[in-house]
Amino acid sequence: MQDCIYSSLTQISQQLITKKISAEELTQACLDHITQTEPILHAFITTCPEQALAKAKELDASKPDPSKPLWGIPVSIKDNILTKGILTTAASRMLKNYIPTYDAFVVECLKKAGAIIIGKTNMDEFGMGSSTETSIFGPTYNPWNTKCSPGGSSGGSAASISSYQCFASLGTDTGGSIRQPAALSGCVGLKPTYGRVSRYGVISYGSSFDQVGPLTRTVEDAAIMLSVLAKHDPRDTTSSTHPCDTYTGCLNRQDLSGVKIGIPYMLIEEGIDKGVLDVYNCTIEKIQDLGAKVIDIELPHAKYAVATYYTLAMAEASSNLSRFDGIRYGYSTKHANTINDLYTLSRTEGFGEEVQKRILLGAYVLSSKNYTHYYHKAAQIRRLIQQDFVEAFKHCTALLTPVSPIITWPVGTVSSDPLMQYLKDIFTVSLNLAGLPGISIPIGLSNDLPVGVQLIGNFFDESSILSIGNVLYTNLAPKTQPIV
Amino acid sequence: MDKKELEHLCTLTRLSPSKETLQHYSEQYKNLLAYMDVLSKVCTENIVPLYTPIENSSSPRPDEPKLSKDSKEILEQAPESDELFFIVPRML
Repeated sequence: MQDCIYSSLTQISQQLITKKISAEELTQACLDHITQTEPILHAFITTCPEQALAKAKELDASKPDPSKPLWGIPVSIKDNILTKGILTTAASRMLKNYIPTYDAFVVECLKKAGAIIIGKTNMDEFGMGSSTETSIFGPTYNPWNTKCSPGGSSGGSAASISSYQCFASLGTDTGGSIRQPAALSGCVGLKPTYGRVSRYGVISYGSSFDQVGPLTRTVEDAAIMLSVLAKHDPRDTTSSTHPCDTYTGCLNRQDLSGVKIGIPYMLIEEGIDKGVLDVYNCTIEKIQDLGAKVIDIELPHAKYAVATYYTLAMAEASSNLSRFDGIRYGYSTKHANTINDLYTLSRTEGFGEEVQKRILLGAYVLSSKNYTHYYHKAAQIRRLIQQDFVEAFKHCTALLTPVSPIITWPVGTVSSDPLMQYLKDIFTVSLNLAGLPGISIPIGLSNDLPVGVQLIGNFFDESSILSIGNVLYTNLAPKTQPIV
Repeated sequence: MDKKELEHLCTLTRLSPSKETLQHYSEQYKNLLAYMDVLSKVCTENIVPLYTPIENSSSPRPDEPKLSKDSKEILEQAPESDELFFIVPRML
């Protein structure tokens, strides 16, 4: 029975629908595995065993419902997505005891699709980080090497998938926070087009960047998850009404004949780990063996992406986090005599160092004397970066890049120079600036650690990157398993 | 970013890190701001800023009043409240 946890979502869904396994048996198997592995991995901030089993029993009491794509499937949710009645902390002291009174739109979607919420996963505080080490609850560890980071900020989600604790997870991606941990932890991570998935009930970091997306074991599983999540939501004014494809119906491509894939060779230069480069170059050869035509693509402004992203994202974060005032919800200091003290002490005591650093820098670039030089300028360059991609997509269906320039690293060894940390986001932030979809596919190993590649698609063309990604996954994903 | 400017930003953002922490931030900001300054070299003449990647996508809802959230539930989440109000220290 315990072997059932090693199936993909697609496979186990079939077994549930045909009653080869009950929802209760499956949920119990996941919970047992979580009990075994959590002392090592620390992927979760909160687990909900009683509610999960109660939901599983409720489902079992009725017939399996094939119209619900996630019927009986245990899933985990990153802890910056609101879940009614379940602690939602954003891995911060500021929200350490916060229990939401409503579900995020994406949680409503999961519940309507029959999913069982098994717990809330660990993350970098408020999504600010790339290693899941800024969480006040302590770091998460990588199932492929338990001294190493799973990446971040959706590191708990990635670890919960690649260690078989559950069958799908929801993460959020502002500058790479789904794709990078997916690549470093050996699973699939999809960031949809900006506006494809509602942000209602998602704790905001950068409102013009944030998107919710799935982390899964296979590309087919990611397509199922996207079909559940991609709907217009009038409660999010940035939620798009662009028609949705049938994402699960686009996966029957057998090879890459007739597909043009762009390679931004000028971006692939120094500073990339040799192991990552070897896997990436090998992938370029193999996609040509599979029938793809490779085209050299120029993205002339991509080299400014990290500076542009951090200018704009910190400005937006500074504004978004001003709602935490110690008055209406969240942490409140016990030492205030004046209203100003209440604000200042609550925020200083409630936010961690990285969060405070970004709030201050965000305020700096928005201040009246600096606004034109930093914020306005960065927004202009954002348009140039987006225009580069619009031009690129006239010549190819998708672009292929590495996800991270390095493989994972031992926990506790992140550089104390924030610039060195931020530069690792070079391949991921451009998509958030432009609003494009991207998927990270596990494609190889370097020193027994996962390496992923990223497919970048055109606006609202998740179908193409899922279709191409499925061919890559089927033909090239490593068959080895993590040590946990 | 000099010390006075950083202290002003702390006031604006309602943060009060210790002097040592502020000094630490100040040193890190030097490298970050020098890196961000590379953007000033890019020609952006006549380029309209892009503040959100999918423009003209908002679809307003009908202008009809509707109940949003239950006020009792909201007040229960506050650190300090009575049945009607959030309680805060005196402002004056």
